[in-house]
Amino acid sequence: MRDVIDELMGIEPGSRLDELRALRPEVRRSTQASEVAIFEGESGLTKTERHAVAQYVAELNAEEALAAHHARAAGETPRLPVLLAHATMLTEEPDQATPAAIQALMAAGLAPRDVVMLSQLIAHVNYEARLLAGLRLLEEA
Amino acid sequence: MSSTHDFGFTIDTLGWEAWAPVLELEKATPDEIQVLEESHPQAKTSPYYLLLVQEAEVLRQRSKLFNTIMYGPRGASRADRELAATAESRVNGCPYCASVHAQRFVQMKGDRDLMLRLLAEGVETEMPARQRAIVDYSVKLGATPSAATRSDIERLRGHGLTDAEILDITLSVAMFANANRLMQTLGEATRP
Repeated sequence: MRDVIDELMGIEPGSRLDELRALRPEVRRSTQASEVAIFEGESGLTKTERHAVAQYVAELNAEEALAAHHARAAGETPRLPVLLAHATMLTEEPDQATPAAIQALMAAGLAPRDVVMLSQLIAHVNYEARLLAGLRLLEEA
Repeated sequence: MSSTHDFGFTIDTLGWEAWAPVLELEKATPDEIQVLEESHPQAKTSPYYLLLVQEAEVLRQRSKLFNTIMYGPRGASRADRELAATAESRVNGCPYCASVHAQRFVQMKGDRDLMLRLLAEGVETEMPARQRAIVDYSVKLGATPSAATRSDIERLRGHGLTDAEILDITLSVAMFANANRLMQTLGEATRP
């Protein structure tokens, strides 16, 4: 099966990268299933918030296609700035993490499972950004 | 300003404490129990997994991804995947991740002295050229994806790594960009 990474990179069936990725079929399956679980699952975070955070994390990683992919479904809510501030810390300075950062999210109305969803989402987009960058290098080199 | 680096890095087994409420195991649904069992042998007593299982389907898929990337057959050696994971964890500042994967690297016949120096001194510590190439690529891709270049890939090929192996190293780095961020921002390492 194809995943979001194949789509964003335009990996053609039968191409060198397609054959390389086919060596790890479970990566494709669970990357795509993670997409569905994170962006379509029920959550206290709205879908537009989730896509807005993903777009932002993709932009922080300079992954334009990934950012554009989420921009289509992104939207603002009053608490979005709090979510984006957390995304900046996780993406750029994860060593600055503190319990106070989690408390700030809960003060903005996030339940513990929403904190988990937000963290998984940000971590997932950071995963995708590195996979995309590495695959591009393997394609070019 | 305090940093998660300040805890220090060790190959000794560490504990981990959550900063947000975790699921009480006796309240877990059959599906949550199943996801915990699929995720890790000790997940049912681990605050980390009991926290993450509150989004059960997300954890289920992430665990499948983690397990195929770190333990899947063929491709890059388990030691090389663990080296990439530990180097990135050292740079990001995740002492818990670094200790677990330093141990696995040694179990997979990786050089224990090299790993102890990497933990104590950092990723710039001296090492053979092949490991150096893996660590340099992992650190660049891990810190800022666009910092890794074609010459990093060519250097890995020059040490005999196939593209399938380089993809596995890439996947390990990508997975630990994820794992470090969860582990070091949802709680903290503790000394037993």
